[in-house]
Parts: sequence; structure tokens; C-alpha cells
Amino acid sequence: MSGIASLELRGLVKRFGGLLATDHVSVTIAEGELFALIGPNGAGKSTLIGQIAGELMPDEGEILIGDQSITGWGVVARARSGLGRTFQIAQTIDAFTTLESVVLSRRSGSLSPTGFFAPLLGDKEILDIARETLNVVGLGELTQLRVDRLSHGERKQLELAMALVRQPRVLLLDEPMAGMSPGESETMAQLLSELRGKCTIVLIEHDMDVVFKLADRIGVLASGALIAIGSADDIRNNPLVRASYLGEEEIT
Amino acid sequence: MILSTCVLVPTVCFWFDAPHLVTLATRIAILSIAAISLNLLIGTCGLVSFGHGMYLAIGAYSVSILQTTGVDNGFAHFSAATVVAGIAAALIGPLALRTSGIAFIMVTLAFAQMFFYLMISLRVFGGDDGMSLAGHSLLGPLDLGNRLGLFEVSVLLLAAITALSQLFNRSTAGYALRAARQNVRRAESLGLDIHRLRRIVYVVSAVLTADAGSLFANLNSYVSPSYSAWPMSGDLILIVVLGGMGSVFGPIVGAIFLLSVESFAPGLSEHWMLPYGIAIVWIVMTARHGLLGALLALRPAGKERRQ
Repeated sequence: MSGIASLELRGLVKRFGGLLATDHVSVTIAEGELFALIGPNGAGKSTLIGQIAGELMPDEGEILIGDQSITGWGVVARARSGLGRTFQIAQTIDAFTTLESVVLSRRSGSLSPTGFFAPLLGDKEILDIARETLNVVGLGELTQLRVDRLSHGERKQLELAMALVRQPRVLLLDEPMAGMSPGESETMAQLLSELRGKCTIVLIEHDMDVVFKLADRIGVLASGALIAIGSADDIRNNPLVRASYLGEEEIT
Repeated sequence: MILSTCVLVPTVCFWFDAPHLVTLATRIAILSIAAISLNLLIGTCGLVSFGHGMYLAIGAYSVSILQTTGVDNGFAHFSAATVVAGIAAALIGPLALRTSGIAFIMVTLAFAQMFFYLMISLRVFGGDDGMSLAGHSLLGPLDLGNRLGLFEVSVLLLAAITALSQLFNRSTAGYALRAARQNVRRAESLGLDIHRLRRIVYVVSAVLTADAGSLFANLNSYVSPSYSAWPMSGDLILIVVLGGMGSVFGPIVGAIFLLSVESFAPGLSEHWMLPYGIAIVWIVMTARHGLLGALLALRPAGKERRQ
């Protein structure tokens, strides 16, 4: 379960009534790769992420983590097989402290009958791991603070800590910088660059500077289809991408 | 604390030559057990079961029906209550837990009402007249027909269940369920199998309530289908909400308040229901964490100032 794994999408199709929200998407994201997914609003990014996370079931196609097909699996089973994620709007538990949140996340993978009744905060080793992870994301000083007192940006950092502490094999990051202050954004970008190579990451982000700087490869979604995949330079210079998304504005 | 309750309450009662106070205290202890069990669903899972009266009835009928067949062994009574309630909950739980919110309330209510009408129609078990106990449960040398003995057993069981409930709230599973109460999506994306956890808690809650029901039958020496009817389930919810669903001890405070008022107020005025109703509305509206929360807030600030 530990370690990193590749993520493969094979011919994914998702229809909502007459709308083709995901149009035969196929891509293999290698172990340790940081793959960014960009595209205009309504291009189908969230639908695609939903299918990878298990909240939506594709109408056609297959999803594999490593060699294992997880196509029919639900959210819980996928999370247990090593898929971690953060949400576009941070989903955190208001009534818990940051430390409790991260410890719960860490222990959630091993909720055995014995772990069922074990006190959440009773294992010193896990507490240390959780504190260290909070430190990594920059919340080391706030371990005892209730989540509802965190700022928006801090909640996003907490979500990342909750995902990282489980040592995910594949990590889905849905707009980790949305709504962050410039300072927080910079911290998050720094964090992401440190994560490169340590786990397979699918990143959805509107901040193009960050995407072009960090991503190993970039996939461009338009009307549900992947119209281009390539390095930052490939994508910048792709006329199709410019037409559909980046526009003619000057990109540095 | 437990020991002092066990000794002190009966002593005081006999001092004032008021054995009916022991009965009241026992009733409080028994309904506290049921309410704490119910609070595992309401407080921890955020699921309001409006049908826990049924499990109280199952526990009570386990005693009375076994008594008519000549079985007076208390351990047999409690085992029967546990097994029957466990099986019923294992069947009803998965069905009811497909829903939440209002739908969950209605489904649990429907099953309890079904059981209510079933017991009314079963003439063998007294129908709507209910059954008087042929005798009481015998726990070894201890006869639960003995007022004092029943009181001690009830308080000990209450203490055990309070302690377990406290442990559970601090456990990983307790945190997981509270996380899901606030945000199911988040809990599931952490790999927490919330539905399985809720099914387990539903069964445990039902079984503990049934055990309280067995004690209740011994206290009243009488069992009736009305235990399964909605006013009883409603009383249990009221005890939880009044006392404070956020904490383990809340339901105990709620039971002390509700049952004491119901026991003493009618002696003061025949119109006691009016101020009583107003008081309940006032408590529910003003004390967000119930009576216990309000009492704790009266203490000088100290423990809460941790930040």
C-alpha cells in the first residue's frame, strides 16, 4: 500500500443526458510524475476528478492505480487503496483541532477491530508523525487550534496535511491555491515543488505560472476531451491550446 | 462517585422514609442507560432514532415472556434481550441507515409502531393490556424484585455504560463518526467506512437499550406495548436533547430533570404541564448544549480557556 503508483485512465466517457462531459480521455501518469490538468471553466475537470476519486462512475472506460483496475470501486475503497485528495473548497471538520484531524486521517486506513476502541490520541508515534506533517505544511504552531478558527488558506494547508499523512500512492489536488493570499500561495507552491517525485500527483490549478513551473506534463481539457498533452513549452506553443484556453495573451 | 451514589441515595431515601424515591432514582438510572445508548446515535452519528422505544419493549418482553415459561434466571432474560434486539437491529439498521435526517426518523418510527401494533394484536402476551410479571429476574442470589438490589444493579450498569461511552467518544471510531456527522464526503475520502461503523453503532445502541428495557420491566413489574409507542421514543429523545447531546453525561442530567419534574410537579398543581412545556421550550431554545452545557457554563471560566 505504501510507495507510489502510476495512474492510468483508459478511454473514460461520462455523459450527463446529452452532454458529453468526459470525451474518451486516455492518459497514463507515471509514478512520481506531477501531471497538471488545465482547461477553461466547464471543460470537465471536476467531472474527471470525480471519476478518479470514485464520486462519479464513468459510463465507459477504465481507471487503474498501478496494475489494479479500480473502475467499479467506491470512494472508501479507493481511498483505502492509496488515493488521497484535497477539495476545491477545503472540506475540513470544524469541531476538531488540526492535530485531531491529521491523526484521524492517519489512523483511518487501519480501523481494525482493535483500533476501533483505541483512543484517537493514544499513540505517541502517530502523534509525532502528525505533528511533523503539520510542520511540513506550515501549521506546526497551530496543532491545538480548532479548525473553524483557521483561515481559508490554512484550511487548504490542513487538507494537504491530512492527505500527505496517509502517504498516498496517488494524490489529487483540486485547485490547492484557489482563494489563497499571495503569501499562502507561495508557501503552497514551495510545498508542491518539494513533493515532486515523492508521489504521483494530479494537479488542477488556474494559476498558470505555478502550473508551468511545477508540472512535468500538462494536459489540456476542452469540452471534455484532452486536446493536448505535453511539457510546459509544448503547451505554451500549441496553437490549439492558445485558441481554446490560453488565448492570445502574452505568456511568460 | 459511583460508590457514593450507590450508598448515599438509598440512605437518604430511607432516612426520610420515602422508598418511592428509590423507585424514582432507579427509573432515572434505567432511562439514563437507554438515553446514553440513544445518544450514541443522536450525538455521535447525528442520527435521530425515533424508534428506540421498540428496543426498550423488546428487553421488557424478554423478561415477561420468559417468566411465563418458568425461566426466572436473570442472565437468561438479559441474554434473550441482547440477542433478540441485536438481531432486530442488524436487520433494521442497514435498511434505516440507507437514509438520514427526516427519513431516518420516519423509518425508525415506522418499525417501532409496527412492533407496537404487533404486541397489541398478540393476545397470548396480553395484547393491549400488557403483562404483569409472574416474578422478577434472579441474578444468582440477587432478586431484582428487591428495590434496593435493582437500584444498585441499575446504577452499576449506568456507570459501566457511561464509562464505555466516554471511551468510545475518544476512540478513533468515535472521532470518525463525528467527522462524518459534519462532513460525510470528507470522512469517506479518508477511507473511513462510515456506513459500516454506523451499522455497528446502531446494533450496540439497540442492545444496550434492550438491557435497560429488561431492568425497566423489573422496576414496573409490568410490561406493555406502549413501551414501543412513539411517546416513549419521544421521551428518550427529549431526555437526550434536554440534557445535552454533545456529552456523555448530558442524558443523565436530562433524565434527572425530566423524571423529577414528572414525579413531583403533579403534586404541586394540576396545571403543571403548562409551565413544564414552557420550560422545555425555553431550555431547548436557549441552552445550545442542553442543561449540562448550561450548568457547566455557570462554573468560573477555567477549563475551557485552553487556547
